[in-house]
Amino acid sequence: MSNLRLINETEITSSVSSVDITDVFSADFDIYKIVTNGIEDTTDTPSLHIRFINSSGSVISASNYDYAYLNMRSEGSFAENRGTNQSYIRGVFSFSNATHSQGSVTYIFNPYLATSYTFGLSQFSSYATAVRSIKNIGVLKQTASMTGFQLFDIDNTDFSEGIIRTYGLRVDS
Amino acid sequence: MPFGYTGQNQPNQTVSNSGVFSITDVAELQSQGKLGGSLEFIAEQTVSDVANLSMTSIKENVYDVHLLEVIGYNPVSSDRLGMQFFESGTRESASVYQYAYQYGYYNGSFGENKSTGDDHIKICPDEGTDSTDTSSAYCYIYNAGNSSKYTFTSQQLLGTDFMRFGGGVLPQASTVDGIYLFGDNTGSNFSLTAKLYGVKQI
Repeated sequence: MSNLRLINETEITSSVSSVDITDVFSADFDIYKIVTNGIEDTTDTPSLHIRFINSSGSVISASNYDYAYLNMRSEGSFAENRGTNQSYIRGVFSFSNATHSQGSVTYIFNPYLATSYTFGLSQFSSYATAVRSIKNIGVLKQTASMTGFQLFDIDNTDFSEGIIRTYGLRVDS
Repeated sequence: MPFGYTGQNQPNQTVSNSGVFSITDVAELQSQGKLGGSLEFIAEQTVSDVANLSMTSIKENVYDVHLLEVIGYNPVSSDRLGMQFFESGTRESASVYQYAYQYGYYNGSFGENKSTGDDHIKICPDEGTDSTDTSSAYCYIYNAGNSSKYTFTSQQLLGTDFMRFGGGVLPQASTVDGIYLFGDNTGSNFSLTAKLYGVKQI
């Protein structure tokens, strides 16, 4: 038995502008792995962003997020992007049109631990004109317990298909 | 709803889980493949002094996300390890692959490496012939078995003098059913261990 435990699998089957994955972070695990693939829409939109959901079920949209990422473009120059005191972590995932699609792996650290900030790091590949690969770090600067997360596009572009799986990394003594 | 795990079967688990399954529940979930670990081993090959390595039973019809580990890549002469895919049994060797990487040397420069038309996706960094001078990598492969989507990769690579991270794509909507590793620069023979896993899905 591996130490990676599937907690939640959410399949997007209709057109939506955001997806809430709730009740996945708990005292059972400290580190979580989120794997997405096949998220898509009719246009090539560059990125999908993340916010966390607290134990009351509220999406945290306060300006308490920092992020930084490197956008590696096969057809052009690489670009750095960063922000402090933002209302979301930008560029954690991506999606693009139906054929192009995407794939990503994200790790979330200590989301449920109320004495710690919630940190994340992500790496994904998607296609917009050519392949784009992004490496991202981010933090929610709140010492509060988070139990879920929300994926959304800042431009309110709907996405219509894809799978989001959340795993916990087993805690050993 | 989180899946539960009973502490009785996992004595090292330090915290309780929210769900407790009955014996009947366990049997039912196990029969559906829903109980147990989520990184499932598919294949492993250890090779020595070979020109290439093929993995052609990758269970692309079972998993939509794969994890490939390359451990201890050591070419006979200085080379790099590249990857091509098999599409429905035929290896795609044309210059159709795309990639973008950031690289960095421990004692040198950082830089960009990219292409929109190469005959491979890069896996391991350049390494010399010293037996201790090896490199290793992990690579996630997305949508391999989906004939209506491109096949993407995201990877991170680490050598004794060099690192690289980034991603690639085979920009063809096809069923990828195999992986081919080879020396993409000089064609040097190599030694390595390759392990392939499926990332569990329901």
